[in-house]
Amino acid sequence: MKRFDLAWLVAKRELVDQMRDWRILLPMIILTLFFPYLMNVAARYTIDYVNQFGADLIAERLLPFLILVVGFFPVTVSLVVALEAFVGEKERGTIEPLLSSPLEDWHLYIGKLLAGTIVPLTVSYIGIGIYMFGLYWQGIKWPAWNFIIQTLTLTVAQTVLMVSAAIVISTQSTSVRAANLLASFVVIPVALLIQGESALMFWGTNQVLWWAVLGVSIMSALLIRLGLVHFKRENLLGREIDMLNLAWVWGTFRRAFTGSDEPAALTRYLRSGWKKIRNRTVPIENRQSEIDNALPLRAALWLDLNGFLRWYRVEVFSALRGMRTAIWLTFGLGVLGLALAYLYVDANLPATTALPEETAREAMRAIRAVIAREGGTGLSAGMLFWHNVRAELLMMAAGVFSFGVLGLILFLANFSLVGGVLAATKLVGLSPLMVFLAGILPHGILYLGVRLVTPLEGKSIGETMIFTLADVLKIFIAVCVPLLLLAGLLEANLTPYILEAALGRIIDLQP
Amino acid sequence: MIECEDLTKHFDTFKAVEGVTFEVRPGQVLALLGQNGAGKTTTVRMLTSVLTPTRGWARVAGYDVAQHPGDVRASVGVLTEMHGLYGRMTAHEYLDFFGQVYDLAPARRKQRADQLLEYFGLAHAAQRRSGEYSKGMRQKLALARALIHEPPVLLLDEPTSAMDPESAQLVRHEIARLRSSQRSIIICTHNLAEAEMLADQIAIIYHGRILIQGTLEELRRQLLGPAEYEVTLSGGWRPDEFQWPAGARLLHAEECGFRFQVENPEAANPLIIQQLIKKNSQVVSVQETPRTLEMLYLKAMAQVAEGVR
Repeated sequence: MKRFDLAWLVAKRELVDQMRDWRILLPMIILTLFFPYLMNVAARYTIDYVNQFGADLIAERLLPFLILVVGFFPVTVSLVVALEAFVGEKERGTIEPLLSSPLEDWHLYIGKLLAGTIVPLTVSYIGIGIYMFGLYWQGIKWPAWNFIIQTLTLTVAQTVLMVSAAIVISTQSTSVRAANLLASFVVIPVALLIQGESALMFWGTNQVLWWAVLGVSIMSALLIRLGLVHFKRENLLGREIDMLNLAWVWGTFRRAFTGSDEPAALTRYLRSGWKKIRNRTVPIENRQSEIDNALPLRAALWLDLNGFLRWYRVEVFSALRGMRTAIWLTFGLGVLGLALAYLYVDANLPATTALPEETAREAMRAIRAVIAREGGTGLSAGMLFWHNVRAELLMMAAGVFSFGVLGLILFLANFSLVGGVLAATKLVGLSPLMVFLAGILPHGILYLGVRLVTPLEGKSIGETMIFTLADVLKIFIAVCVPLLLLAGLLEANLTPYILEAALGRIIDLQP
Repeated sequence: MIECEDLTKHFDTFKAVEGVTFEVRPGQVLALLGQNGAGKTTTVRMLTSVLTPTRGWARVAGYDVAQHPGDVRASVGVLTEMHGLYGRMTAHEYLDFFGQVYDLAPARRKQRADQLLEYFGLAHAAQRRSGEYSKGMRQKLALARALIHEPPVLLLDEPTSAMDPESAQLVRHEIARLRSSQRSIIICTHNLAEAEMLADQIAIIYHGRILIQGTLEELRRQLLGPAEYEVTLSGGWRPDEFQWPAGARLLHAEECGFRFQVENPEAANPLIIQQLIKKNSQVVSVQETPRTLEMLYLKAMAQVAEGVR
């Protein structure tokens, strides 16, 4: 039975506890009262300064940004509550009675998540309220309501994102100290996100910020799901101290990657050969026994070839199967990103006629260079392959080590860029559909395959991370690299011909 | 009722518990003894469905620990190694919180909390935050938490540690009362005198395996052999003239007494005393040599060191 009241019970106890802890209360009160005041002063001076030069627009766009900042800082401080949600209880020894109680995992997890969210959000909103009151008090005009609502919503989304990540860290850490050290993995990406959002605010493209709200909300939902899936009572009590056992890490990774405990036959053959060589130089009584199960080279190679085929058949496909939900979800988000970027660029870019002539000529020259396979475009198969391998590796690394969040951002940026570029081809009088069909689809279908199987959602820290990394690498090596190679060859050698056939009549290929 | 068979828990390559089998019927107390890290806490954690067994099975209050973890946890009262109190909550708030966790009605929660605080002598401090409590008070409050929902099964880790003698006696009385009300109880303890007083069955765990288990009498018999008695006489006696009944043998002789071992004291001891009287020996006292649980435990450990077990 879904008993939400039990989750709320956990949250309520935690909230009461926090309200009685002056070490949590004091910094929050100071930040809530002092920081908005500081921002009010900053707003006043900045507005006075920029108004001297008639830059009212900057002042107008600064105010919602400062709301975002006022909301962000108290959240970072009170994040400590979420960071120690589980690991703090574990350190204080209060977790076991809770774990031994009939509370279900999700009661505990959601309860902690609620407690971790309510405090920062309340503090953040009080801070924003004080800041807004300060603006009113100083006679500074408030930003438009839609900006205020947008900023408040963004604050909620970011708070939930940060708290969700902090709770995941708390369930996986073995000490509060370790959790606090890992907090930078939460604060820094969100600070970067806010920088991006502030750029959009100053740029005046506030509509895009709603997409940021949606994106951040999706990431929060993914993090919450990830946290819930990997929340194991057993793990909370099982790990006592942080130990980095590199031999264990390597052994676990090797087993997960190869699917076997046995070393490769070729390795055994080489080891045996090495021992034979060493034995020649040592006295007979000190000689190590040679590996008696070593095979002749041909047999070893034959065995390894069979092992490799088994690995492909069993390990790679089982990894693909295991990640299919993540793969399809990621792909769905990518297509959504592509479509949204296309629609946004299509709706917001000026009409072709409004494009400065020189810019249009420059764009056309670049397209012509690709189609006409002119030198200097740098679009060789090798370059494309290497470029894409790097991009995939970056996405995978970012995905595995940030619970999928950073990987997903890069992935969405990739798809959105394709969507945006397709819409922009209209500027030079081309049909986006034609460009897509002729210029992207032939090799893109292979990239699509790569994107489709590049698993971006790392699962959790520790053992799961090793397994995920092994799965990711299996798929990357066995599926992505061959596809990327093929796609690079097609893109460099075939796509220009198809484009020429499709668009040659539209674009004058003569420089 | 607690039953488990071949209960095993491995953490990677570390074998924390290996093939543990026992049964604790309603109205029985099992004392789990063993060194630190022997596997007692891991066993208890498996019985509360906090850890999943690597192998084997366990049923607590009729529920399988792997299949029905929620029901298992609702039927168990656990006193953990660490008190697990929230220092900023008052005793009353703390018990009320766990009362809600165990789904007790508000009136029942209040009644149980008052009752337990009164019983453990904490009523005067009910509105004080538990962070201000002494160690013994914390232990009593933690025990009250374990009992708040009147569970049919109790798993108590060091129930009287850090308690003054009066409080410890109070807790022992409570455990005895709970046993008589047909609860199945497991206590993990290093206090062997307490285990001897409370336990119907004893299991000694070493490196995750049960070395030996049974009633105190069975353990005595297995580890130290038949019962031993010490006879004190007012005068001398002649061991060479003495006829030992079947199942009895002399262990140690002195001028004014002797020590003997006997398989069936009920039959043999009256014969021995009759002989002494017949030979005009003045019997001052006949008493069984104390064979405490501590002696049994140390013997078991010595056997491990010698490689006997």
